[in-house]
Amino acid sequence: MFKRSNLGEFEEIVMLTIGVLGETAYGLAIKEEIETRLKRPVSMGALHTGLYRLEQKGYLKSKLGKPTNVRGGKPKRFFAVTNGGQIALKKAMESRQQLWKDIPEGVFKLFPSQL
Amino acid sequence: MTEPPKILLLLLDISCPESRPDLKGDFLELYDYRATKKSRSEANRKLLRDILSILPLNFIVKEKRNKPVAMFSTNLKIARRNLVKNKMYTAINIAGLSVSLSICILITLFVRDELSFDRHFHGADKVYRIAGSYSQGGADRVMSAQTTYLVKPLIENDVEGLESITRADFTGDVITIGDKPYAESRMVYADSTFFDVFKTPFLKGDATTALDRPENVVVDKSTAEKYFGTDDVLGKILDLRGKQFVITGVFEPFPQNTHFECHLVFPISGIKQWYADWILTNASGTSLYTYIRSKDTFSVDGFEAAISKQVANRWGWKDAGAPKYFLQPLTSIHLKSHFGDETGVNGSITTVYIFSATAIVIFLLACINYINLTTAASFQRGKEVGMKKVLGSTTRMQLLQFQTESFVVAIAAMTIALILAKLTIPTFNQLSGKTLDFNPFVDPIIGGGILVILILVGALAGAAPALVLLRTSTIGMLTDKLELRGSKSYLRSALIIFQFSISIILIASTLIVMDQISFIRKSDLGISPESVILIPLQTEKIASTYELIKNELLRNPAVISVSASSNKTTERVGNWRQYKVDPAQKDAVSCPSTVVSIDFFEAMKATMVSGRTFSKEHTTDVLNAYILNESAVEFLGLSDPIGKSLNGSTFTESKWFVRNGEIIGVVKDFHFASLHDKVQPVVFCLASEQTEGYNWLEVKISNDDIPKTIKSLEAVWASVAGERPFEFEFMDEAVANHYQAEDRFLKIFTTFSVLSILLGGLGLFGLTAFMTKKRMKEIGIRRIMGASVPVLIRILSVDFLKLVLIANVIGWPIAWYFMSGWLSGFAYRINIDPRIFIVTGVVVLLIAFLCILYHSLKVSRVNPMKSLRSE
Repeated sequence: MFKRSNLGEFEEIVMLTIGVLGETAYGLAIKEEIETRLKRPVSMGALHTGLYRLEQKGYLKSKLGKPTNVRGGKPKRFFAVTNGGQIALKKAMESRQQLWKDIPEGVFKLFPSQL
Repeated sequence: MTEPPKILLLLLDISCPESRPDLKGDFLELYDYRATKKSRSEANRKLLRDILSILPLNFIVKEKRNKPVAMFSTNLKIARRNLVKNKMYTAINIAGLSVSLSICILITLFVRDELSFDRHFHGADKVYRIAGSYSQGGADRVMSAQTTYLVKPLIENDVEGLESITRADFTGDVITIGDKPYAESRMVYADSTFFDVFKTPFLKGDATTALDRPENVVVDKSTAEKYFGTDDVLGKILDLRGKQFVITGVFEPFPQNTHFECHLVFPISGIKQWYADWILTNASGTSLYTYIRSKDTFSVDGFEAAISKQVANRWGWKDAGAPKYFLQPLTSIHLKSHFGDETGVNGSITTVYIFSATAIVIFLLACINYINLTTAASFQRGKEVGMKKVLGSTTRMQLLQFQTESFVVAIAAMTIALILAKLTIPTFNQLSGKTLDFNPFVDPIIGGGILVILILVGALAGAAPALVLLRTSTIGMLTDKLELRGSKSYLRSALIIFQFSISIILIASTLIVMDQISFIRKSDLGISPESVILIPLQTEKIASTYELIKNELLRNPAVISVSASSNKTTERVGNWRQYKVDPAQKDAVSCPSTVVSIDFFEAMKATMVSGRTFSKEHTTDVLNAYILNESAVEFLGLSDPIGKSLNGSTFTESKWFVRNGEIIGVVKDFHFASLHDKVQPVVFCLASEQTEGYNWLEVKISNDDIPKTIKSLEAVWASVAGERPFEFEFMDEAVANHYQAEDRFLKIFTTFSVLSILLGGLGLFGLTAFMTKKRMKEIGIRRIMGASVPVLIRILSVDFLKLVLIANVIGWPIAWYFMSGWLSGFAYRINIDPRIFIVTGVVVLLIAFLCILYHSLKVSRVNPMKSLRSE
């Protein structure tokens, strides 16, 4: 048995988006960023479930911001990618690159010379 | 900043995990964004969708909860304290809920039993009864559940789709075992295929062959045990009319929810010789029931068409007078078939509907009380809720608190309801004529229903006060500026109006039913049924000794008169004979006819309108005289009928005779049957060799010591007709039996209306208690300013009484509408008296006022010093 650290596609996107947003990565901002960049709808349920799971796995950390008068007096929760998260992302990227690299010449006719 | 509607906010509160407050913030921000960018309605819709999408998160997030058991026990403790503190309110809630629930349980049992009729037969959905519509001359047709003996041979081999067919002649007779006679009132003469149609488990013998031979008989287990003390009775002999039958099978008794009742099955082949010729040969008559079991591929329409074809081809009966046969699914007979000659008293689908509706309404009334009282009571708990909020309690924890209380009340109510239902079920059985029982632990419907109701009451009714409180601001609750919303709640007003409308409908209906029933009781039947004893002349032989019996009976001075008739004096006249007023007339008309003894009209105290009654001095009366009732005069289109000739016919059950006679008298219309129907036209003539015999004896006795007189009647009977057991009934009771359904209806409606007004009153009583408490200070100030007690009572009660008045306005027309429908079932009925509605209104208002009065008086008398001084 090897340790399962594979990231789901959606999880990977969420984490990368958090990276893109930097300091301002809270729930709604992440949702909007993904929707504008990837042109696909993201449901609140899916996003928050994903965020919660990633936090449980230790790939994300979060802290509550200061409550303000907007948002019904509720705080924002800002997310950041932990070291573990960064490693997982890197791994995911590398394993894919490796796979691309090992595709024999001429198999992907659309992209004959990927590397 | 745009906020979502309250209801969505509450939903949001419930659906977001407590530990993620940011989530709600995200939702609100997104909502605001959408509402300003697009539209509120779209934002609402999307919010709802998002809330749904977030629900699964609740199962994933691990809340940091402190020992849930501890919280639950705290909730329970607070619930107990609250319930004990508001004893009156708890008692009203539990009482209302438990009474209405026990009624729901009983009604569920009743309805389930009504719906279960005949379904216990294996493959019951394939069984049908053939019923017929028969011509009565002219365009008149009469529907009957019975068919002729000849339908079976007509179709059994030539019509497609038939698996088996049986005739069934439900009857009663005397059977003899050894040399002891027993009156057996529930037996059937049936074809050997009876058990192929009605598939029933056999304990002994073989169902397929048991009735194959004419000397066989099959009995059910209870009968076997009754007569032989064991169910091992194969080969035993029993006697019917001097013929011996051998028991060849024992079957499981038919359950009580079967539309017929029979304990012994004789093969028709074995008793056929006793049937009169006309039964065996008359294609138009109705003498017994025919049931079929269909094959899998079967079309009702096709089958009915095929029978019609057979009637036309085989019987050669092609004109409009031919009988039309149709099929009734077995499982629908009990509730939907209401012909004059059913096998027993059938139920009615309307009763099932009325009962179900009432159960639901009564339950609703109790729930309304519950909601009204709990929301009203929750105002007192503003501080508790506010304090909890400040200390960090969440919406869901608070909701759970209220729901715990609801559950406690619901469980208590349910327990009491079950006990109540168990206790009242014998009375209910008496009222409904059933043998119902239940065990909530094994009964899926009752047990399941109880669980569902527990959850409904607990979760939903418990959420109602929470909804009110949680909408209020925390600060408002903690400071004394507690002006809670909803103190003039429209919802509550609407609920009160609904409750009292129901009460008014039920009470007005009850009064109208009472009115109609007393109208029936008091209305002049035209004959006098008081102290008349009806005795069936069970056999032709006994009937032929009428003169002897009469003379014997009259020797007793307590017997005032003795007369006889072919028709029971409390039943519709069933024999129809053809008449011609003018011998040259082409078509004869059919008219109900009955044979009576010479002094019948005198004995029954019927009034002659014109002419004379039958008399011994006119020796020709026996063969020539006819007496008509007023309806018959009208029916035959006669004016000045006395002395007119009337050409009729008579029938001895085997032979027809022509009877050309003269009308000698007209008797005032009197009721043979119930006041549901119009008086039938009836032609009377005297019994003779050429007519059918008497079937009933009417003995009028004096009122003194009736049991002794009956004993002497029985002694006479034993000496003259000892081979048959003595049977009798009181004519006034037989008349009253026509209105059993109405009596039952009245009893049930009275119970329901009393209950509904009780529930409504209780609710109002509880509500005023809270309302007056809330207005203590106001009342105190008013008193200081010089308001008198009556003025205060007016101020406190006027709001509620207004609602009751509105309920009246709603309730009256509805009651009027329903009761007009009910009354249309009577040919002789009252006009609805508008005073009934006024009385109902006044009574309900008075009851409502009394309920309010108690607390109003109490609060008006409190020393204003006390109510104003607080803190």
